[in-house]
This record gives sequence, C-alpha cells and structure tokens, in this order.
Amino acid sequence: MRRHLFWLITASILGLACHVAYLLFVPSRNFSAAIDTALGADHDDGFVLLDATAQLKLVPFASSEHVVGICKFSVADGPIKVTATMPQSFWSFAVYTIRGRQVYAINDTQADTKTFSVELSQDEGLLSQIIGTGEDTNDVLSDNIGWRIAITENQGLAILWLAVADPLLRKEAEAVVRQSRCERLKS
Amino acid sequence: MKRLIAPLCLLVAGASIGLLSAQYMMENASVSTPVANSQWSEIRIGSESLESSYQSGHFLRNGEVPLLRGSRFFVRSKDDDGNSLRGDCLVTLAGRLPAARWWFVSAKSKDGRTALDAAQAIRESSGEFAISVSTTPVAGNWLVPPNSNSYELQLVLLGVDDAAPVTLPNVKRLWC
Repeated sequence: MRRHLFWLITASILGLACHVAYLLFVPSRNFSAAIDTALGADHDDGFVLLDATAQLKLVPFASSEHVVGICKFSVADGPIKVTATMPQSFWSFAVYTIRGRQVYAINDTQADTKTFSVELSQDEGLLSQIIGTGEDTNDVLSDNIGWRIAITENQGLAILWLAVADPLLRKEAEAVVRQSRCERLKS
Repeated sequence: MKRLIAPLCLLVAGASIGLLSAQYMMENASVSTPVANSQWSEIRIGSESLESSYQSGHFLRNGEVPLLRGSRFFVRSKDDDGNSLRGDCLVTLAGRLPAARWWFVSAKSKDGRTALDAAQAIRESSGEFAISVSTTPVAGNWLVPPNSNSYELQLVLLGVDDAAPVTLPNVKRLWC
C-alpha cells in the first residue's frame, strides 16, 4: 500500500513538473522561432517592417492593412535604445519579453509627440541591488532618453503598430516608421 | 520486471496528464470568457498571475504576439444557431460594434487568416454594418475565409474601454 502511494505521489509530482515545464518553455520557444522566421537574417539591423502575410500570421491584433515593425533585441550585452518615429495616426508601441510578457506600452494619445525614445536594459538581480554594484536604472527622464525600462529577461521584442486609414497612404506611413531605430547604446 | 511495469505506467500517465493539461488550459479553459447571450468568447490577458501565463501561452504557442493592452479580442467558431462556421457556406455578421478607435474582423483557420479592416468596411449611417463571409464573391463588405473548411471568426477592438460590457454582432448562416 505504501509502495503504491509512493509511486502515485511521484507520478503526480512528475505530472506537475511536466505541466510547469511545458508552460514555461514550449510557448516561448515557439514564439521565438516564429519571430526569427518572420524577421529573417537581417533582424539585427533594428526594426523590420513585416509584410502582409507575416503580419497576419504573427500579430493577432493587426490586419493586412496595418503597418507593423518589430525589433528583436537582446540586453545581455548592454542597454538598447529605441527611437521611434510615428506619423499622425492611431499607433501603439509596446515592449514584450521573449516570454510574451508586455512590460511597456504607449499609444499616440499618451505620447503627445511623434518621436520618442526608450532605453531597454536588463533588470539587476536582487543581489546586485543589495550590494550596489549595478548602475542606476531608475525610470527617469535623462539625456535624449524618454523612458528607461528594465526587463527581467535578456531578450525581448519592441513592436510598433500603426493603423492606416487609407491604403493609399500606406507607403508614406511605412517611410516614416522606417526612420525608427533600435540599436545598442554606445558606452 | 512485472513489479516495475505498474510504476512505469503510472509515471508515463502522470507526465502525459501534465503535458496535456497544460495544452488544454492554454487552448481553452483558462483563456476565454463567454460573452453573455452570444456565442462569442473574449480572450483577455490579465495582470501578472498564473492565469496570465496560460492566456499569453495561448498566443505564444501558435507563434503569435500576445494582445496589446487596450485591445479586446473576441472569438467564435459557431453561428447563432450553433452550426460550425465553414468556408463553403455564406455567413453574415451583422449588428453594431462597441465604441472603439479601430476594429477589424478576421476569419482564421489552420491555413491562415484573412481580415477586413475598419478602413475597408462600409457602415450604415445608423452605425450598423454587415459583413458577408464566403469563398464566392458577395456585394458589400466581403470577407474571404482562408479556405472552404471550418474557421473561427475573430473580432478585434483597439483603443477601447477594457472593462465596459459589450454588445457584439450576430452571426447567421444563410446557405451552404
């Protein structure tokens, strides 16, 4: 009887471990692979504007008429500066971790400007904060940086989404969004 | 040897239940809230919690970006009479939409997604609209499903009040 109980508890713990492991690793792995496929080899160069097919596949809150720019970044080797330029329209800018957690979002009514910048850096661990070895990464306004965001994971996505009211204006909107930059901050 | 078979089966069953339950919870149980008096369900991503991991996982496992804050996402796979939505049928989606800065309707199947955007759709002066979903051409607002197999309808509202109750369009099958 005791032996059966032991195996039953072991199987339950294994089941729980498999459940948590699946939840933690499979969705983010699928997501990262889909992003890499959509962005292709040139995603280190900053924002990539998606074509209509990739947009419909990857972004459930976009139709083929919208303009979507994605920058996959890594903050493991230092902070990243995102400078976004948006046309006069309904737009939204969001930052997600590679596990899909949205850590920052701003839209046209909140930004009150067509150009803004955001610095993304890796969150200091609790130990670094206690012993004070990390840099000051408080959310503050500073030199040419509109906002600073510290993320707990070392990879993430910055997404620019823009609604285009008239398909004839799409090229013009794309040209403005193409001016957006996503680059490593020079130390 | 015989003494090992039963524990081994138990461990395999435990692991399988763990994996399948994670898949099921991401796909169904923890992600959608039925909208009153309709076949629509809303998928929402709440604040950081265990539930939000399943909600984000719903999109991530399909290689999709989770929803933006300030957006609302509604899905259905049946018409008002409970029939499955199929590409070889003519289905109309009609009614009035909640106040939103932008909206679009998508038809999604395993083969892809097609969408009709607010900028493309024609609305009545009363604010009501009708969209025909069919693989054959239809006058007015026409959304082509990805193929003639079953699909799910998605309604995305952007720039909306997160908490407000909504009245969503009806979906009727006209013919197959």
